[in-house]
Amino acid sequence: MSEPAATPSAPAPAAPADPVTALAARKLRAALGAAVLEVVETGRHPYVRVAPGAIVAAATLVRDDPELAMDCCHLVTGVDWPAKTPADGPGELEVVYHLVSYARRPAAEVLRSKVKSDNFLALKVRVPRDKPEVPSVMGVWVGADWHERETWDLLGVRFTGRPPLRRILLPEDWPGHPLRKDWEYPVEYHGIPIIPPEGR
Amino acid sequence: MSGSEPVPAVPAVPGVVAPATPPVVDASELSSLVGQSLRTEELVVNMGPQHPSTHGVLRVVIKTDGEVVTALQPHIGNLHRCAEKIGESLPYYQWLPYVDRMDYLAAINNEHGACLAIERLGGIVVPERAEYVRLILAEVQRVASHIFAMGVYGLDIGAITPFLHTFRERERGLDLLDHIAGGRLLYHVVRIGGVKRDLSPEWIDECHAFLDAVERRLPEYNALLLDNHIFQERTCGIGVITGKQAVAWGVTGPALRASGVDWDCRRDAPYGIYDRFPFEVPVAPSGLAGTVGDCFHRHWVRFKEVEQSISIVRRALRALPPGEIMAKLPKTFKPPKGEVFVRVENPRGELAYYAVSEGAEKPWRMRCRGPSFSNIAVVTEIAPGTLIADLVALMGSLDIVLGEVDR
Amino acid sequence: MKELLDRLVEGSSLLQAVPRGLVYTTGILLACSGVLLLVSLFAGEIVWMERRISGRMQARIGPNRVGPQGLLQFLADGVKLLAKEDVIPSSADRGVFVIAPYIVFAGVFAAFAAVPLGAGLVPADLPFGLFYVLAITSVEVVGVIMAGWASNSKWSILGTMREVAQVISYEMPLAISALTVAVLAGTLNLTDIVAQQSGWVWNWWVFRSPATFVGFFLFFTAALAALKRAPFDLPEAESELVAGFHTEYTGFRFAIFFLAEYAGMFLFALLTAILFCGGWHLGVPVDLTSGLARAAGFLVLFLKACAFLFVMIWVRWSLPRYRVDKVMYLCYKVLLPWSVVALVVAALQVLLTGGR
Repeated sequence: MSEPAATPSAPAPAAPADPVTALAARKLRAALGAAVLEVVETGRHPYVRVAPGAIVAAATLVRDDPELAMDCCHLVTGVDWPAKTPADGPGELEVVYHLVSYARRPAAEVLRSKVKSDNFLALKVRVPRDKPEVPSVMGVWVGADWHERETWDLLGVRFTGRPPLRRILLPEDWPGHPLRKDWEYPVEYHGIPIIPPEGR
Repeated sequence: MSGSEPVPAVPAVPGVVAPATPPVVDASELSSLVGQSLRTEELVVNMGPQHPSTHGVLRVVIKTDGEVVTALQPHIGNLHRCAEKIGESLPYYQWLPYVDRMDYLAAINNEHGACLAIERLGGIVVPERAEYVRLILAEVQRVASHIFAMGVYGLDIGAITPFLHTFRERERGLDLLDHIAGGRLLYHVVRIGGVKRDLSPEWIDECHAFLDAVERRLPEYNALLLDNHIFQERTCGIGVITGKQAVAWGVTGPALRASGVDWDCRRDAPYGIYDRFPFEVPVAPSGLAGTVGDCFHRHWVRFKEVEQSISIVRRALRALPPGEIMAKLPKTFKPPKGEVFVRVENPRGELAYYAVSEGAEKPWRMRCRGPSFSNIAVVTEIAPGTLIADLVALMGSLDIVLGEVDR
Repeated sequence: MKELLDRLVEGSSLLQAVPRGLVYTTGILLACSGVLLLVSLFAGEIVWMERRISGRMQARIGPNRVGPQGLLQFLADGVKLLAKEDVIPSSADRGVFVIAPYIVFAGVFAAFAAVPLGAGLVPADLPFGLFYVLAITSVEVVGVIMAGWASNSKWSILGTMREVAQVISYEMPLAISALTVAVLAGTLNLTDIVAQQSGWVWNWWVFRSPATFVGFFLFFTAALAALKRAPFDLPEAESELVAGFHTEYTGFRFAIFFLAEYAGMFLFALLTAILFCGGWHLGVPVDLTSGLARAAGFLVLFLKACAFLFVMIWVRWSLPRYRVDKVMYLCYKVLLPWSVVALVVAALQVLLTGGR
């Protein structure tokens, strides 16, 4: 991600490389090679993007590596990136895993400095919108269960290799996945008329 | 269940010739009859969505064998209000009131986190005084939320009086926030770039009085709950979440610290100006009673955190600098392209915001992680094998707010 | 009762013309209505007492609008409950569902027949009064089972299972600790038991023997459990079982359950006062034979009962609830052994000292 243009009140900070992301990227590259697709080490949101097929291996590595020890899957998020024009293909769905380590204590100098992500790592996966299948990381962190169900519910990312996905927030018979950018408001739900925000 | 069935005298499978024995009632048949008449059934009970101790509209389907819970499945989503969908379809400014409604018992903390995320996205620097006001309000809110949780936990255990006693002090805390924001529960006072209203000297006096009152009452609450023999019998060793389990399930906040994991975002990943106010993070074991990770410790951690928050607010009130409370912001706020991930320590756990901006007036994606969402998920692993009463004690001790689970 | 009626008939020429049987029947019916009225009124006032005291304990006011200090609040509540829709769940067993509350109430109310409210003020002065009272209150459990089963609700069933297990278990320590007094007093007649406690305060059974002293606390604790009062209010534990066996009840049927609960409280408060704390005796030697003194004795007994009611209310609003297995533990491993020990000690005392 590019650094944002300076707003009136904020001078752009000199971007230090995030130590955890750098370390994770090095280890993931060594273990997975070409499956590591993108590494952003600086900026507000450093992350490592891996191939969908390699996510379980990457997750296991960052969890089991004693230096990283990402023992908690804090948040699983889906982001919809539809194609700008139909010619660009179906577009992509991004799944972001925000991982936290409780075993790894933040160093004192980290606490003093403004880099406040010493025990935090983001992994990303991108899959095509028309075949959004991502292997589940539930086997690595049990806590990912409900987060994956929510991502399926709201964005329609199909996680494979886990107990069957059920909707979690919406009713079982809700049409579509509302957080997809091309989702359209249904006219009614079981006889209850639905007025989309534009029509209000 | 009746266990393995005895072999029937006459096999039911067609084609298999039965042994030529005279059709007399033999012992095995009799015992099978006895087994049938004594067969016990598991009961599937719906706990909620309207149940006194599910703290909102949580529905838990529990399978019980008498009083023992053998399996359970929480069903959430009854209170889903599309917070993230709304976040995507409104300008940044306008989303903040919706954030209040997620964890309606700690609205200031929610706003604080959301504003931090949006400010970091837009590179906005908040004035010094506004940071102090935010911290003070957030900690007052934490005190109010924690003493409320303590009282409500008493209600879950069956003690009604402490609930009303904590309510009395909580109401003073809410009055304080009311005087700043004009609302009891939903404030919309922490805004992007600062806070809406400033603290007056009278408010500061009132706040000190509130803190003194809470501090004076804490031993009273403890006499009714924490030190009570029956309370200890009901909570010690009940619903034990080990540190490993807590971390694996993403349990955060007081429940995590009660499991012996020494982690508090305010100290270990400080946001705002929390790094200026060192405080003691209460971590199990308490040395009083119970085992690490049980209901007793979750209650104890909340009680200790109230003490710490009181001390933080007092120091912050003394150190409150003069100055502006709002940064200069453009009329239309369009943060540059980018993404941020911010976590803050809410009374219930770590609230996280993940915001993606495409440089437009509205965010591309607004994701928030309600701490209760992960905290309640762990129940599926902990609860089987406990009694119904323990399940209530466990869910109460996790202190969930369904507004935040369902968002 | 019979003597009282006989005396009345002898004193009045008008009544002598009426057949004796009719006089007795009318007299009994009048006495019953009187007791029913008294018990219902007082149960209503206990509700008020409970609400006011709990209000005081919880830093709020409580009902203070209907009548002086809210004393008539129970009437307003009763009218409200009468005016409510009488909901019977469609899948409930109608007949059983409908009569269950009355059986619960009848069990408690019938016990008052043998409870003396003052010297000679007893509807039926049974020679085995204590036994009768303890036995007849068990009928309540039948009503509760009927209510829980007929409701066809899972929470009700769970509440009923708890209730039955708890009440039947606690009958044992309750009865055995009451027997400590009976053994030492040598009678089951409640009037006689009170009569033995006249004179100074140390003549009260609670102070007369170590067995009865322990028995007093055991009896009161077991009574709390038998009444399903906090901290033993598991059968209706609202945070666990919604409302237990009366989850499905509304309106007046619910009011009957409520009335039965408070009448039960009154009953056991009276029994505690009668068995252990001197009944209508003040604790100082005064003559109680005159009419005015009898009325005063009635008042003394009521005040003693109120003191025990206050303790019940105080305990309820102070303590959390026990868990179901801990309640059973307390019954079988604490109260029951201790009450048996108290009974044995009482029996030994009778053997060694000849009863006095």
